[in-house]
Amino acid sequence: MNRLVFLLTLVLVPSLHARPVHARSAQEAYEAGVSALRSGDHDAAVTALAEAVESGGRHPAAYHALGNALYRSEARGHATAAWRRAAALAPRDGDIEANLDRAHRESVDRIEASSTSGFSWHRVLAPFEAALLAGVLIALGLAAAALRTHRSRGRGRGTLFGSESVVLIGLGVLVAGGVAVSAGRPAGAVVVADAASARSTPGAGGVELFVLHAGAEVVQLEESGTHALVSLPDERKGWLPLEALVSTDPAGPFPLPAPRGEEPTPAK
Amino acid sequence: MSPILLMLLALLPAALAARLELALDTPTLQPGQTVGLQVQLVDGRARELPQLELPAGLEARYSGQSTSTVVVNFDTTRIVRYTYALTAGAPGTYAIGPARLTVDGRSIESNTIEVTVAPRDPDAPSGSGVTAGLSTNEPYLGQVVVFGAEYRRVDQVLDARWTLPELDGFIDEKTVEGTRREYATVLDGQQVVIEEINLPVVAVGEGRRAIGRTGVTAQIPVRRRPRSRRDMFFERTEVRTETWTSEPLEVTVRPLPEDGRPADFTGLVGRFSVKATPSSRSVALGESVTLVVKVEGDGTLSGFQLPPLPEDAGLRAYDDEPERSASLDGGRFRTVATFRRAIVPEQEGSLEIPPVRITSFDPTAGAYVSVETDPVALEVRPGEQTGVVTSYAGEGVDRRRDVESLGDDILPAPGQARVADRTLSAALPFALGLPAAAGLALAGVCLTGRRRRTEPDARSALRSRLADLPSEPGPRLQALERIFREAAALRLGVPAPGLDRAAVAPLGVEAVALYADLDAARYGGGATADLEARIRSFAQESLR
Repeated sequence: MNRLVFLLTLVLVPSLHARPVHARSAQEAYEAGVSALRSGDHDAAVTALAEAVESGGRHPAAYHALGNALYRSEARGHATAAWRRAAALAPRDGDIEANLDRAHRESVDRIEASSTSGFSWHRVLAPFEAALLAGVLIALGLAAAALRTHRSRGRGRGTLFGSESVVLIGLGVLVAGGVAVSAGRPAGAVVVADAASARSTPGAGGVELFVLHAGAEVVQLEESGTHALVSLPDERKGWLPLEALVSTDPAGPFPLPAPRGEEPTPAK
Repeated sequence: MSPILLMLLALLPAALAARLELALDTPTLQPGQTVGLQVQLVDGRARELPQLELPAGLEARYSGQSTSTVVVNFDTTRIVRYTYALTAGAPGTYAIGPARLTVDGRSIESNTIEVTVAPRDPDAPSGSGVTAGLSTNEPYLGQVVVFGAEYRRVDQVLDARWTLPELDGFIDEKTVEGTRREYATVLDGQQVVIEEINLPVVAVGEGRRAIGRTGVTAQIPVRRRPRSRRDMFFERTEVRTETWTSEPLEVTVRPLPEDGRPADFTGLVGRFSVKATPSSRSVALGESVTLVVKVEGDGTLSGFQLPPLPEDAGLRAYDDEPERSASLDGGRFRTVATFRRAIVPEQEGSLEIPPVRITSFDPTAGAYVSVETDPVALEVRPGEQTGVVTSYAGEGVDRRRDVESLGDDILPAPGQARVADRTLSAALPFALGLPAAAGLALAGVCLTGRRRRTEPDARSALRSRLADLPSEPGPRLQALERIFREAAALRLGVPAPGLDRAAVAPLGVEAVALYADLDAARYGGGATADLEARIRSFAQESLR
């Protein structure tokens, strides 16, 4: 039994200990960012909120506030990317969806991320929630099996997994599968350059296929050096420079727009 | 926490939720008529009968009680119905109630109801018949009137079919369906069953209108005298069809007066009340307060919208789709509309939401009247300065469609959030650790069980030794001695090899005697005739 407790400690203690390392600084940065946003200092708000995100505060509220600060700073493409990340972490938040809806209506191309038809996990549960749910369900199923085995030991017979364990573990595997499928999908991205030409090959040598503007949402299929192959909901594909895109993956780094005064150059 | 306190806490909501309701089959009676009066206890338990206040001129006799349970959307409602037979005396208008009852140590009161005892109409049919009428014969344009028809029968009826007249100049009030009910009453010692139909309609055509007859065609069973022996055993029921009709009606729909018509009159006809309640008295600039405005009255509220607030009120108002409901209780039409108005202050400091004023034409008074809410004072705290924003996130309702239609500004992020990593990688230690821990626990239980299974079971070993004794006397005696030791060890819970005479002493005289006899038999002495049977018996005892 002592060995079991030791093993559990080995598994759980590092995970419990790993979380609060950056929590305080992220919280402080978030509060400073929201305060700056309320006082109208949008540049300071962007800096503080980006710091909150990078220091471990990859939370929907942080991305939501960062999107608001970027929107106030006239960086509409970056704001859309931040809100899209917030929506990925909190898919049931109507305020974030409303902001995205507004950004979509204000964008030139009005291209929104393609949505899958029918039921989809990521519309209901954030990956964080789904992973926890899957873990709890599988753990409950295994615990039920352990309890069943312990009870049936005196009788000398009985199966390892009862129906309750099968149902719980099955549901857990189903949810985990949904998480895995969502994680395996091509990442989304938002165009943050004022105008970006999508070409037939990476670099300036390719034929210009179409032009996308800030706020357009695309799916990033693959990367090649400084360029990424993107696809649109109408199945058009083209290579865009990576600097013109910000990924919508909440776990990725969030590049901030160039400071005001520096003229953005059109991405080739 | 003690169990008694827990029980009291569990009973508290039930006692607080209990309510008492008073209901009468019909609000209009004739002298000498007896109808049912019900006192309903909803979601409560009482040990006594309700105390009912009755005015002189009415008499009530308790006739029994019944209990029913209604389950709607997993919400269980228990109703105890106390029934009285109410007999009307002299003509007049009386108030019945309130009824009082002690429920879980708390006295609760019911509503009061008004009943009118009208003098008998000498022309009214004494037997079966149909009567019809409108709640008023001179309604105003736009007024809701209730068309009521009553079929009285003294005979048993197999099937009754109604024929309702065309209500020329009226349209159905859509917010509530007509009601149809049946109740029994006793008049002059004769039981009469009354079937009643009420239909709310709105007067839409001015002038004199004729409403046709209301008819009921019923099949009444006729029992004939048996004409043969066969008829005596196989009784046949024959029916006769009979039709009753009411008198035709004449109605005059009056136009709304032009004189004195206020400029803010929007067409409401009826008597209304209005009440406004804010969701909060304090709000941060940029956030919203929901003002719930409840309009209640006896006229139709179909299509009615709240009047807009003045533009210089220092706020913006956004109306949600109102909830409208109507009811038809005792032939009276009642309607309620609940409006939710999102108020977004435009500046900090004290703010007064102007009253909501509703002007209607009151048919009873024959004049235009206005009702209005009290002004609501708000304290607007500093908020996000970057413009006016509206958030519905705290209300638990997804209002993104409403937000999209407003489209004023982006919605703010929550200011009080505890930010932490909410990405998939942050969940993985728990998502993997929990099943791993449970899996380890399962593996531990399985390994422990396997180890125990591999260890020899003392009982099983003893049984197999008993069943497999050697035939040779010497080995048989050795086996019997081993069986005795193992059986004794099993009872004592100690290892078998260490047993001696003193150790088996607590097992009784027989155990000591067996030990001595085995000791003697080992050396060729002692009584060994029934030794095996005694050891078998001892071992069986140990195995039980």
